Amino acid sequence: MLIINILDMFQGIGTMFSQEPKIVIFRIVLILFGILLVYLGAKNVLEPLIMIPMGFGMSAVNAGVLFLEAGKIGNLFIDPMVTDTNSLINVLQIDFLQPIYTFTFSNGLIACLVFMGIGVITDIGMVLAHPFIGMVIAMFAELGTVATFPIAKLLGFTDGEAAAVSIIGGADGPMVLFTSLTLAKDIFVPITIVAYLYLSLTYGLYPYLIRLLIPKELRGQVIQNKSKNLRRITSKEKLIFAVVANTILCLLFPVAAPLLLSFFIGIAIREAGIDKYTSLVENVFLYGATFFLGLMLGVLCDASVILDPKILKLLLLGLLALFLSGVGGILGGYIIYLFSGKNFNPVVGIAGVSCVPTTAKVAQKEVTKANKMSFVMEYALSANICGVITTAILTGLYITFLK
Amino acid sequence: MSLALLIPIKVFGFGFLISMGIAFLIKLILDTIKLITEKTSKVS
Repeated sequence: MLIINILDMFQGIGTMFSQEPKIVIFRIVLILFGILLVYLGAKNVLEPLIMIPMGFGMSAVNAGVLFLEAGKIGNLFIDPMVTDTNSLINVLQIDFLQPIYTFTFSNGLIACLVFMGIGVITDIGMVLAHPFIGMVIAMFAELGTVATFPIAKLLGFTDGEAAAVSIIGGADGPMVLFTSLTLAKDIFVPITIVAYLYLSLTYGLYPYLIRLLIPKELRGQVIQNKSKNLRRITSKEKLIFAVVANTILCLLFPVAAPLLLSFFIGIAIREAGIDKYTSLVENVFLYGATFFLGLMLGVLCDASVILDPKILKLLLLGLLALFLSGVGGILGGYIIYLFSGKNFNPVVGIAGVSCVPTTAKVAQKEVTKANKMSFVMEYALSANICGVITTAILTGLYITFLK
Repeated sequence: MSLALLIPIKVFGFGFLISMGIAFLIKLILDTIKLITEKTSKVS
């Protein structure tokens, strides 16, 4: 009797005696995993901006399970499975994170806000200075985005799911979220979590790939600038490019227009010098959206919702996609090296994987280790930002072909 | 050809063309601005 009362009183524990054993075990694993993410985030092993709120959300949602009306078991955070309007209105008044999920997550707004922030912190001048080099490298760095698709299909995923998991190869979190919400809504939570986990790991793993595929003497290669009419790209030119590229890409891919608009309007705000908007987008939209993105991904990791046999396959495919993209990027770097009369550093290729600015930093760090007098950051940032653009293009193409 | 291969090939093919198109567009914009700047500076 006393035990029953205690279990009623502390329902987080009490529900463990009412759920299936495999869900209970998974709940405990996710609570511990959430704590581990907070620890790794705080230690800067993984990206703290995402991992700390995600870890907290994951632990809290799996600990804070309680008995709801009619013997149902759930939580007071969020109900992602609710579909009909009446239930949604009820849930909006009960679950404290439901408004953010319904009004910013399921329609992709949060991905657009993050993308707007990326636009504001991106200097498009690097792309304008070396457009062909950047674009070629970025396209090669999309190897994982295309090569993972048939493998995912072989493993039994639908076209939409295969496309969503393939986009992990583009190494762009908001893009993965947008694609999976559009093409694979049933498994968008595990896909997005896998993507963000791996994106946090690129900083640690890509240096090994660079050292494996590029000999030290090439890693230290200095790029001689032979261009005769090298000049500074003005803000006016950047603004014109943003307007024209946004209009053309929206014409080509109306399905990806929200993302494209968000990215290019961010660039336009920066280049137009509207300091108040720059500050608003960077400090409020970007960091606010990133915080809620992490927290939301965490609370969506409810054991009973994400216990899916596809998770192991997603983990493997995500890793494969990022590995192939890294290899593809380096291959692109080698191709530019050969076509430019050996006046290029192939390490720049890794920056084609559009994890802005992580992969560009990784490239410069590895180059500096091999030769302190070699500076590739300008080319690396160009490839990096081109990577964002090519991933947006490939996302648009997948959605256009499959929706 | 199986759809599982055709879709990524189409995605990559079109993606490559569009990316090169954007790179070309960048060149075009920069060259046009340069030309206009030169012409206007001569006139003035």
